[in-house]
Amino acid sequence: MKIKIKFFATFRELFQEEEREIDLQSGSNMRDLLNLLCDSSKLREQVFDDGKLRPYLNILKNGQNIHHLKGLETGLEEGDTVDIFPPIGGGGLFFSVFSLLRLSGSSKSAFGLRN
Amino acid sequence: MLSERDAERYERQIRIFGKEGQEKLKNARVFIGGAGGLCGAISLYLAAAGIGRLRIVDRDTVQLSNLNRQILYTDGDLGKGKPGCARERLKSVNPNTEVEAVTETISEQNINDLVASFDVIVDAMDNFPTRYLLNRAAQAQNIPLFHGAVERFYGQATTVIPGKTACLRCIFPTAPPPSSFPIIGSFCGIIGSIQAAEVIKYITGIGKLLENKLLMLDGLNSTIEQIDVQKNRMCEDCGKGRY
Repeated sequence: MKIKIKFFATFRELFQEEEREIDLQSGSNMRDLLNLLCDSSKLREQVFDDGKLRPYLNILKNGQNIHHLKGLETGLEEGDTVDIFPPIGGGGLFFSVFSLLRLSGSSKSAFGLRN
Repeated sequence: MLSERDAERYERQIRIFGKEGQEKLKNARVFIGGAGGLCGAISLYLAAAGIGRLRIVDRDTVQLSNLNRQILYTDGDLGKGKPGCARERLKSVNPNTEVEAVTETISEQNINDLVASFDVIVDAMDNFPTRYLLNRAAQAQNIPLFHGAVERFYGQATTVIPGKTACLRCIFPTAPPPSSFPIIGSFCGIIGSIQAAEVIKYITGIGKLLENKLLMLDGLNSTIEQIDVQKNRMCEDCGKGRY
């Protein structure tokens, strides 16, 4: 089944893309999707905290925050859209994402900066 | 009733929503929570548009590090209370707008009194715990809430109509830990201007509001998109969860 994922704010820089379509096995849930998307320790650290989803991360399945559904166990179906973004205007996650990119040396390409 | 001077002053927008729309703006009472970067664009455009009454609430004084984005203030305002400085600036923009400066910390104890009798609540805060207080008061008193937030190159905005749309808690159920975040002033201007435009559209009854839509600004790539959002029926602020 095909799922559309859209990244916003600094997660566009972190995942280095704005949108992606993923083909998942029927019966997959949000945990399966995020495990697939977070294919490095850097990405996992921004999404998970000790195996649990970071509580203030915004993950919307067809416009509904998954905190109101079944969290990581929220089921996915063909044609679903998943929006993923960190808090804007009052959160610490942004800074850590930026710091991480800077530390990894990828900030110049990720943020389009010039020397 | 609009004076001749009013008719001339607002002529370019009266062409859009008529004298009746201008009267509505003149009679409107707008509450703005926060007197920082967002408030600059929001309050300047609302005062210029002829809103009758603005109440601006903030506890802070003007700091040098505010001046890259908080366009209501100048070097001469350093150390002074923000709401009072905002009032002076806005009175010079439009003396017909009554501006009430309130130097207070918005809290659970005072929020309902602060917004009572206002037609609109504008969220110009920099933290989620206070946004949730505005959200609850908006729901309790059936007042529309115009949300905006900015950070780094990014911003978001949505319009909450109690009983009709998703509220802030539906969309953002959990507050992130507090932090001081980087920001470029012009992005405050973009999101604050969108909030002011939403307020003007709501009051004059024109156009389509950001109802159940979360507008996302990507200033780095100069794009704006909308995310469809849904009400949470069990929401603790606007749904069955509050009973």
